[in-house]
Amino acid sequence: MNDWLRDIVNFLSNPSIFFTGCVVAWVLIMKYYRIWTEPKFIKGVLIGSIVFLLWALLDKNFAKEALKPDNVPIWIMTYSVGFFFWLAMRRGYLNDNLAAEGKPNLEKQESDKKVYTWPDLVYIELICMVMFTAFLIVWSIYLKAPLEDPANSGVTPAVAKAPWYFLGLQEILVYYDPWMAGVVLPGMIVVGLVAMPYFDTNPKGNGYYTIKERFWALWTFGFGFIILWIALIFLGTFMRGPGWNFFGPFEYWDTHKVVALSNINLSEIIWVFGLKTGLPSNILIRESVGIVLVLLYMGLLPPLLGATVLKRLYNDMGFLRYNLLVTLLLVMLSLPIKMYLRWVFNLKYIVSIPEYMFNL
Amino acid sequence: MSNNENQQEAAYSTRTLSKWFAISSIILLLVTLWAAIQDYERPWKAYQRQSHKIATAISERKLLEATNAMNISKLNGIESEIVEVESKISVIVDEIDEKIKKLEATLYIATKDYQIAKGIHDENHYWLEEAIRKKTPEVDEKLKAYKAEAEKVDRLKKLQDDAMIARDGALEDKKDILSKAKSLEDRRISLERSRDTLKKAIENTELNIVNVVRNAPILDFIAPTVKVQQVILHGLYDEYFFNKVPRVDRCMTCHVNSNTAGYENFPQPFTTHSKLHLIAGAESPHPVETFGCTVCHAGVPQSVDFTNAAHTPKDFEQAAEWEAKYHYHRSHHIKTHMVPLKMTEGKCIQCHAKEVVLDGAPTLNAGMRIIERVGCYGCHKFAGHFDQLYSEKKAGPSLERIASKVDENWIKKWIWNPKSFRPSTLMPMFWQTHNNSDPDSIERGKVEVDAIAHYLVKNSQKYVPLKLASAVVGESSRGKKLLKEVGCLGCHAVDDMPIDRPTDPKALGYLDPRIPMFGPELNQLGSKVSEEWLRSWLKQPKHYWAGTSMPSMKLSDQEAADIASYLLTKKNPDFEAASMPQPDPEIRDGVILEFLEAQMHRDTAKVKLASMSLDDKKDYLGQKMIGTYGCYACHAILGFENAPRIGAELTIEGSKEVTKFVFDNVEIDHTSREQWIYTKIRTPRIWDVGKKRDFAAKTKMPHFGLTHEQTNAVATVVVGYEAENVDEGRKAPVDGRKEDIIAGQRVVNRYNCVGCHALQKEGASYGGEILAYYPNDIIEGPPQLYDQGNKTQSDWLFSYLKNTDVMIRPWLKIRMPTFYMSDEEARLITKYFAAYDDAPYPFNSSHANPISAADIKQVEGLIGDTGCLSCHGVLKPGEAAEGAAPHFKNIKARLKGDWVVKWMKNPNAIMPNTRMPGLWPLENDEDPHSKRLAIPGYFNDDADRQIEAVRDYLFQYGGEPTLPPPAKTVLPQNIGNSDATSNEAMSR
Repeated sequence: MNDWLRDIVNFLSNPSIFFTGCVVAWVLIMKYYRIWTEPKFIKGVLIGSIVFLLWALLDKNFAKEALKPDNVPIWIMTYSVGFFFWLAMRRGYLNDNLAAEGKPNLEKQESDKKVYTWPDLVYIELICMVMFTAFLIVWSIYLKAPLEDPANSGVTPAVAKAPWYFLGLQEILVYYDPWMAGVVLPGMIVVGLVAMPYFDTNPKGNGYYTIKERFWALWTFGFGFIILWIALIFLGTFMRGPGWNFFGPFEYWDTHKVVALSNINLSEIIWVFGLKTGLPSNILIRESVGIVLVLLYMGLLPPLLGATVLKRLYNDMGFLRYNLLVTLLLVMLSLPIKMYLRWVFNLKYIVSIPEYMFNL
Repeated sequence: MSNNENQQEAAYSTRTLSKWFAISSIILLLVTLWAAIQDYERPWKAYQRQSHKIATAISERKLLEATNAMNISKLNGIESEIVEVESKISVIVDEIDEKIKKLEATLYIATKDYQIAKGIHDENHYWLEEAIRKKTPEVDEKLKAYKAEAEKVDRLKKLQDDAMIARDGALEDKKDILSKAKSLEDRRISLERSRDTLKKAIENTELNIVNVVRNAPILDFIAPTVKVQQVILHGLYDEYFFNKVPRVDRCMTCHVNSNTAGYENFPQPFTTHSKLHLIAGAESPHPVETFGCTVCHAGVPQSVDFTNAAHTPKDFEQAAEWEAKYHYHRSHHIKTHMVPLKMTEGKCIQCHAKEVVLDGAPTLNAGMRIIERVGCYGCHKFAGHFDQLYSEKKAGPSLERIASKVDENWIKKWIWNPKSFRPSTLMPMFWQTHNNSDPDSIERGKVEVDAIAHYLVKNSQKYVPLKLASAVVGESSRGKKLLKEVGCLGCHAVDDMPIDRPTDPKALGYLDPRIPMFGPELNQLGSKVSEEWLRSWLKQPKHYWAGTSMPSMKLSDQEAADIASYLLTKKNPDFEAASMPQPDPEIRDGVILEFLEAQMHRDTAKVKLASMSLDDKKDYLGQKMIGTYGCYACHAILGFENAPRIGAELTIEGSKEVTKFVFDNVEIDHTSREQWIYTKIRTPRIWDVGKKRDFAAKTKMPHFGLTHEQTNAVATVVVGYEAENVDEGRKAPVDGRKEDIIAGQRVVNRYNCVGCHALQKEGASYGGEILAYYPNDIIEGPPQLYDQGNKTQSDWLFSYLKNTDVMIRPWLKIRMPTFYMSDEEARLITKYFAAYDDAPYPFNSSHANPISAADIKQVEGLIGDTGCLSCHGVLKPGEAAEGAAPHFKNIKARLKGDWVVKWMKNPNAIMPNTRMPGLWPLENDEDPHSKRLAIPGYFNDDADRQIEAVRDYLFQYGGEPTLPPPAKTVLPQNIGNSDATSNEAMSR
């Protein structure tokens, strides 16, 4: 029974299934928030997850990774992000209900009451600061800094992992050229976040929680942050072992595990498998299909969407802001698209020009 | 505004918040203190403080102080001695220099006088001969002049010799004095080291207010007594990022007393080093101040943390204990974990690589002997000793004439499973091991064995054994007795003659149980060789195989036949009954195709295979398999004369990165180089278990079946071979004397001299393994060679080794065999003994003084009184009476005069088992300075004078010695000649 359960969990933790599960869960979460924002529901999830963890910790392979001092922040992150996300959604749902009844929302109700800066704000902040400092000191004494043993110049560790907060990025490295995953995509994330206030001028939701009023904004940002960032950090921490190979939570991290990596480029699919000719020597001809596809995706989709589905958005935002936003969104979307292309077709690169270190 | 304020209450009362603030502040304060304590309290400080407490405990303190006082008084003694010597030394040296100058002048004059006289003499000689030729009448006159001049030349020559001896003597004196000063200086340095160590221990451990302040938190940055202790080891290096830096050892931070005597009974880390006189002690040859700890123990030298220092537990139990106590784990990144204690001796090799036997390292020595006998060096390259051995000798017998010794079927059964024939054999298992016992591999193995046997027989030279006198009939009971008497048991074992070896390493007859016997056990020969062959072999082993270490035991035809017939009664019926099944021809074709395809296209290979006859196939496969398994590493095989070593080089195995060892599925500690090496030696092919590998990828190293202890000893040696991290200057110097010892030990090893003869070093004897068969009558066994370098004259020893056909101890039945040593080998052994016993070599000065007629009379009376001749006068073996001893007449050619005196004074001190009585005992045995008791009536009852007179007498009037006849430097002609039938040269 135990083994059987573990096998199921291991199977479900495979990156493709895990990621798909996350995406599906996200869709369901956003669809059925009315149900799961009930406190008893979240209590059930909390208790369920703790029971699962207690059971899982009986397994020594699971315990080994789960209890590493390095991974304490990941657990804190997992539960705190979960809790605050739930809290925000809960309050948003309640506010939506209040708004429907024509009553002021919760934040409005609270902000009617005034409190003193001293002692109600500053003093409490000070106390929190002192307590938190004490907590950090105790943590650092009790769980010694998880430094590794003295380094050896001759030995490369079998798992070379980024700091935990970059593990999502490291996961992207599996699917993208390092130049893209390491420079372009992170750069665009930063630029996108910086540019956000200029795209999003909608004043709704300022100072209070709401779901209905900002459903798609919430949907999009949540997808980018919780699924593409937090979930991938979780995956990278607990399910990527030696050689960045995938390991189920109950699997032993075997350094010698061998995984066949027979990925192929789009150009090879077309010229070699499809047309049964060799690869053309001209780079542009060789990669023509990929280049056209990318150009269509990045160049054709925005106007097409602007004319159809996103017409309202286009009208609201104007040409420049609309195009910039949609470009950013498409780039974000390209990540899951690329992931699925890899899993389904073993596709390595859509455009592969290693001669100029340009791979998409 | 103010109204508003009055109306509104704060959400929380300031009082409550202040309480919380107070509580949280106190918590923060406590937590901060906790952090500070955590930072101050390092585990090593606890050890040092505890050690200081131990040292302050009254008894230990007294001990320390007493030891120190003793040291200081010794030191004072030495210092005053040095002052005295130094003050004298310049005077003495000046005096001696002056003397040398004068002596040089005398010598110069004497030489000139001699040369002039010699010139005149030569001229006279010429004129005399001219006169004789021309028959002139001046012949008589010339003859007279010639004779007169001749006398003068003789006299002058003598003068010159004397002058030379006097000058050399003076030079020696000067050297002695200077070396005495030097040794005093060395002693002073080591004593000072002792004193400083103890002084520091006493001062630092005192519990007084000063020390408390010195060690207080924060203040302890100035001059604490509890602090990280370290030594910087110049000339010993650590490798950091392709850069070598002097090693810094901090082990003594916790192992506080490792170099101080008196803590032997304390637990780690407070205990004293277990071999303080040899290692770590201030007065040992390896003081911790200059050698540190990690040079032998390895580990991370600069770490003072239990886990990061890379301790290595001795077993799983200890590992678990450490885990609980110190959160111990094995780090994957550390390059050099500590060597397990049982293998530490291996690290001696870093500085003692060239040495063959290392005093104080029994495990290392056992490992080296096993490697020599098992033949690891045939496949693997080692540095130092083994590298030289590789060029000298293969571990197994030559197979160049194998067909005349055993038949093809026997060969097959033997190599298929050698241990089924001879359980103690050193021949390893190549088949039916961990990775080839499955049915497919067994079938393949049969094909391989068949082909190898075929190849060996086919590539075997023709050989006709020596023909013994045809009428001789061997008798087994006589043979059994002879086998024991002549000394075969020095190298071989026979079940019929079991033995209780002593377990005390210092006892005579001790053989480290880990070391296999030098020669094979003789319990199965009846199932192996023919009588004709065996007789010939016993009579003259080199006839069959010129390179064998087996000597000629000087057996007569009858004796050889007797021993042969005894040995042939010993059979292994199970082995005889077993038969080797026929190999499957299809599998053979498949295996051959495998090899062919490695060289050519598949189709070509098939054509080639089809063109081969059965004989061709076996030839081809046999050659391939011998090459694949490396049979030629231990055996001389025709066609493999220049084949290279087949195994991995092991010259730096002891520092190879752990990550470069492939542990596969084997459940051992994957961070332990030593465990891998151990496992590889014990079960070489275990790595393939549970792996799907084809033949080419499988491990080929055979299974030697070593025991745990043997494996550990061999692993100890392998672990010792490290990458160079020691300066040449720090290595043990191999100077003239050491070089002689090492070179001699090689020859001793080669002929296993120590199988019979015991040698002595610092009170302990080693070798003489056969003496275990003589528990109650050791004098009947081969002589122990104690003090041999001082005892025998080098010329004599050399001649004797070249030709042992001379009877020294007429009562012995055991024989000194003929080894057919080369001049070089005999010379090396002679030098070895001189170096081993610190005797001068070659030693040519006179042994005795001339003795006057009156003295002769007295000595003869004395000898008559004491009855020396009743033992020392016996010459022939037949006359060997109870208590016979070497004959007097051989003394002058054989022994050294000084030794004879030493011997007469106290024979027991030189050889504890001798029958020779001490005729001139001391008045008080305990006191070496007491008066020696004389034999009354001679030389004014002066014992020393008596002894010397007897010596002088023996050296002059011992009769004509039976010297070893001119050495048989050349082997008998027919050796190495397969068609030889003459056995004349073989006779004694």
